[in-house]
Amino acid sequence: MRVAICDDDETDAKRLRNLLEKYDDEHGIGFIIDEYLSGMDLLKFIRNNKNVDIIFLDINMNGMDGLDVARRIRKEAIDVPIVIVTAFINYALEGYKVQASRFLVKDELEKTFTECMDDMVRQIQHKKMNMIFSCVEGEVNLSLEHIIYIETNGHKSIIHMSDNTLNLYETMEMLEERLKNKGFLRVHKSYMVNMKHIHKINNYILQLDTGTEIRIPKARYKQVKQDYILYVGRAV
Amino acid sequence: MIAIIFSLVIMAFEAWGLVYYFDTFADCRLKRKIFRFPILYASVLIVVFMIPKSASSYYELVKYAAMIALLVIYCILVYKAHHFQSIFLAIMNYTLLVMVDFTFVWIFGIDKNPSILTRLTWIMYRVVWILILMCIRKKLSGLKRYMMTNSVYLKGYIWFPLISSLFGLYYMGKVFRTLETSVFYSLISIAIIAINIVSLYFMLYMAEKEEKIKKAEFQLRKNQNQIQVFRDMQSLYERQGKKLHDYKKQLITLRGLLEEREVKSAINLTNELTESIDVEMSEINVGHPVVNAVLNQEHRIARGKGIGMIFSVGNADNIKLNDEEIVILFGNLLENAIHECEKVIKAKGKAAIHLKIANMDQNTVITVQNPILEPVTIKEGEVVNLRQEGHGIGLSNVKEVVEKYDGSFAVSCDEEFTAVVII
Repeated sequence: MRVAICDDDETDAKRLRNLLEKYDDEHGIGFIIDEYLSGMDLLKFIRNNKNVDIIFLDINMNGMDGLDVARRIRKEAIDVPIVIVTAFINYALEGYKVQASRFLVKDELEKTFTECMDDMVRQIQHKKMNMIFSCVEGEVNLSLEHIIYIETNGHKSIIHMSDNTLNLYETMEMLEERLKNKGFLRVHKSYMVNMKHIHKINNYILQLDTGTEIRIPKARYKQVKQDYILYVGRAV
Repeated sequence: MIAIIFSLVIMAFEAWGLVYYFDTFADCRLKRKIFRFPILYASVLIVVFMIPKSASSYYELVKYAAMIALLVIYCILVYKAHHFQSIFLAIMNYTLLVMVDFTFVWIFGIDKNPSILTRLTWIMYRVVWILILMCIRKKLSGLKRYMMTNSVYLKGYIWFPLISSLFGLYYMGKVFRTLETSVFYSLISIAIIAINIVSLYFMLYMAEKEEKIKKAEFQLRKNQNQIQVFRDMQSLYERQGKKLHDYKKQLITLRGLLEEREVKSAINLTNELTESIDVEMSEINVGHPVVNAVLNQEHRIARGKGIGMIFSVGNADNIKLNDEEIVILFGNLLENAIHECEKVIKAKGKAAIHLKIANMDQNTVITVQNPILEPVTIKEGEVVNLRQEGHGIGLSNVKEVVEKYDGSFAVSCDEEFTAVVII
């Protein structure tokens, strides 16, 4: 995982590097850490090499400030998670406006860093998650975020993607076990949906962002709604 | 012909009274409420005419069971009542009718060939029953609010209508088999009616008492918050006093540097001082003054206890809650989190709370996540066994606020505790 630190204060940058290295030692992620003393240097690197997984960005820097850097990164449609690290808590809302993932206060860094990284690493790994499915068409390596929903049809299960479908001989129970805690929710004995693609749940009907509607049985409705609310709360 | 007309009139009275009772304790879900009477009346007619009439005493038992089933289904479909509420209301509703009928039947007996006068008295029994329902509505309409929001109450009280209906079934069998009269059994019927009405009074009393306790606890919490605000202000003044003392020393140092013409050092010192003051004065701002006040206060408390906070906070200026509700919601969620983090810090040395406020499709999503020392049990979306520490009450206050705005609230506890509000 490639991590970029952008802070014109070398002491603060070193402090962050130490925390990252300590986290890496404990969790074995395999970080590659790059340091930049100015926003311009960071932008130059990102434009040439968009393969950054997390950016730690200070706000108060000489020249271009961190918010400006974040705005330019977002303008170029670069979706990399940005963690704002600053001494000034009043920038929290400004950070949100540039779609920063997290906002950490510098003098609480030692207390908050681990929780923040646990969450970030989990989200990044989840986004990149692929799984191999033994389909009728053969073994297929699928990115989980492209699966919209899965339904059973007799002895077969059908994976619905945005542009095609795949058939496989795994039962819904086996799939539920494999996809547990990976953003999938069993809403019906014959349906499991990727919560990322849920548009709304209302009046026992679940609507996906593709327009597909699935009726949720009354017995499952409360639990399905609860699980979806928790998913939304964690994902924002 | 006359018998049929009288039967239709009596059933109309019964249907009207049954609807009246349901209206007393439940909200109608139909857009056109005027249809609730004809729907029930038609259903009653269908049920009565579907069951083949026989001389057997079991006819009345079958009719009783069928009517209860019909009323349960009717209540579920026409009123905003859960299954359990519907069963409770349906059994009590019909049992009251049957018991009033029995009171008179046990006194005056059953006439197998009733005259018009007898049939008119049967109508009179229904009128008495409706008068009882009117008294119930007058005295106990406050119970509707509690019944609709909390079916927990009903689980303890379902025995009253259930046992009454068992008595009713037994006596129904007896009276139609023996055709005898008995003042004693009539008095038992009256007692059963009274027990059911008393149980409703008791439910209302307990519900009002619980509400008063909640309000008192809320007031206590408000007072505690107020005291905390004053303590906070006091510690802020003390901190500011210390800072001023430090700044005074720094200014003396600055004066010394300027007197010795050490301009560069003086500028560096001034910059450091300015930054220190900026950091001290910086506060969370999410666009809503009351949300800001609560978040800043809780953040200060967390910092004072060595708990870190991670923020992902958007604009909260369009949050739908009033000031008091904002204090309840954010205050309770963050206080619970702080309380848990204190335990974690004692055991593991550090802890941090993750606070998220995001806007999504005109709703505000609020998430609070914190580490936990011991997992808590979540049952039906609620934390159990925390009442003695007061935290279950805090979260139930949050739930009430959320439900008022038709929002959503969910909690989970696996590796960490997560509470999500969508409002």
